[in-house]
Formats: sequence, C-alpha cells, structure tokens
Amino acid sequence: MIPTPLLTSSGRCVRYSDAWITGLDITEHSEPILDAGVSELDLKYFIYQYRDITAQDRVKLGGQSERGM
Amino acid sequence: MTIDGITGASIAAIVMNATVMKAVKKVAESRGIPLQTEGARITPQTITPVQVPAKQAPVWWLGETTEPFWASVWRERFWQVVVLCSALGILVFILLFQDWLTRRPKLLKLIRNGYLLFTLFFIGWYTLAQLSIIHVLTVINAITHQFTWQAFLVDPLIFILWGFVALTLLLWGCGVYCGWLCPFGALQELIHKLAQRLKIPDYQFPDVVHERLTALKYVIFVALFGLSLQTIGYAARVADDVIMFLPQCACRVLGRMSRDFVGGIQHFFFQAHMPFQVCDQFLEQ
Repeated sequence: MIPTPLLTSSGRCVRYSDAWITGLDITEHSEPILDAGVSELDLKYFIYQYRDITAQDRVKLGGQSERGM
Repeated sequence: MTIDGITGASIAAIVMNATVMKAVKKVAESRGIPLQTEGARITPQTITPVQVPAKQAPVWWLGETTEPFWASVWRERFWQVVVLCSALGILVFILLFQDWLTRRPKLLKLIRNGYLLFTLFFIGWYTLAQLSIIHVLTVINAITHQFTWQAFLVDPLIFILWGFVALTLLLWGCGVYCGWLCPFGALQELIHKLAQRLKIPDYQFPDVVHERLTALKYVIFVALFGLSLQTIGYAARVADDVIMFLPQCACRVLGRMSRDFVGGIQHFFFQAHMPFQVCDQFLEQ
C-alpha cells in the first residue's frame, strides 16, 4: 500500500487506492465494424485514453465521434 | 472524464467503454477498493464554463443504466426511427399505386428523385444505415451459434430496414431495396442522372463482360460466406479488402456504371459500412 498521491499525465492526483488504470490492451475481439472500418491505430488510440482513469470515474465519450474533443 | 469516440463505430465504442469500466470496477471490488457511490463524491466537481458540455450526454453513454442497452439506443434515436418508418410507409404507397403513378411520368420522376435524395442523405450519410453483406453473414453466424435479438436491436435503423427488406423481398423482390432504399444505389443513380444532364459521355461495358462479372459477385459471396463460418471478423476484414480492390469493379461494372469517380466517392463515404451489394437488379430493370 503506497498512499502517496501520484500525479498522472493528465494532471490529476490519483492514489493506488483509487484503482487507476495503468493501461489497456486488446487481445481479441470479434466486432466486424472494428475490423472493417476502423484502423488499428484508431483502436489503440481509443484504449490509450483509459490510462490514468480510475474505477471511480464516470467515463463518457466525447460529444462527437471525432478526435480532439 | 471525457474521451474521444471512434468515427464510424460510435456504438462499438460505447459498448467498449461500458465493458472496460465494468471490468475495472469488478477488479477494484475484488481487491477491496471502495468505490464511491454517486451521492458520496469526495471531491466535488468544479466545472469551469469551458468544460460545460454543449449538449447533455445521453445517459446510455455512461454505461450506468439498468435497462437493456438497445432500449436506450432506440429511445435516443427515436425520431430517426419515426422518420424512417414514415418513409417506409410512403414507399409502400408508392409501390401499391405504381400503376397510377406510371401514368403520370412527371410526378413519378419528382417523387423518385426526392426519395433518392432522402435515401442518400438521411439513410446513407446521416444515419449510416447502409445494409451490408456482413449483416447477412452475422445473422447466419448468430443462428448457427447463439441467437440473441439484442445484438441486432443495437442499431434500430438497420434492424427496421432489414425487417422491411425481408418482407418486401417476398412481395416485390430485391428491387425495392436496391432501387429505393439503398444509399449506394441512390448515389449511383443520382450521379448517373447528373452526368446525363451534364452530357458526360457514357461508357457501357459489353454484355459479355457484364455477365461474366455478375457471376463473380456470387463467387465472392460464397467465399465470404465460407470465411464467416470461421469468424465474422475475418470475413469482414476480407470483405473490406475486396471492396478496397473492387469499388470500381463491384459498383460500376456490376451495376453497368462507368463513372470514374463513383467508386471512389462511395468508398470514401461508406467505407465503414462496406458498400458491397449482392444484387443490382434495379439497374437492370
């Protein structure tokens, strides 16, 4: 247990007790649309955004499906 | 926290988000990390004017509702469903009174062009409800594996359109979909009409070539079907490769169209939804 607050890249203070996500990886999926219309990079970028988000956070997708929101 | 979605796969992104956050919460719970409930937020959220979202995010984006996922999507896209259903109702009337309409060519032309524009802009570009061969393969796959309505109800417009196509297929054949409701076909026909008006010369492939290539699409379909038995994902990837390679062939040759830019434009706009058409009867009518 390390109670020290950690400053993450998004500039928020999180602690280990917040259960923050250090990273995600897609090992397998079977969603056709992600195979066909979406590039590998788009998927990588999408899951990369979960870094530093904690289990307590409520994550919502941007107001539009474009990047840069 | 707001993260970016994925262009062309917004529903998939929502599902992924819900899955990820659910999994994270489960892990946290299993490790005994207390999760704050809604009412007991320790750090009050300060919202500066810049952060205030212009539009309230729909509740199903948060992945925290108890009702089935598809029901929220239907509610969210309710007006689109209403518009589509009304349009389908109008189409049924057009088809029922086609004898009366064909005696009034001017009116018919007006109605038809209007409907094609609606199909292209609303069904095609706005709601992205382009039916694709992948949907058929997914249904076959679902039947052979484990069938749940939920998977198909996630996209209301696609669901309604497929239902309508299935019904009209029995009554009037595939011309109803291909000729009226397919954004892809509508785009082709509108460009064709525009080109005629602009007097752009037309090149028609000889019948021999056309017939041979028409057979090709069934070969491609059978191949995709075979692949889909393995995994839908793989079939979709191959279908996309085929379309990457065949936009001109599949769209222009099979449909007897010969505009250089048709395939390119369609591929650009409908890439995410795979513009692979099994039937092109409407052009042969």
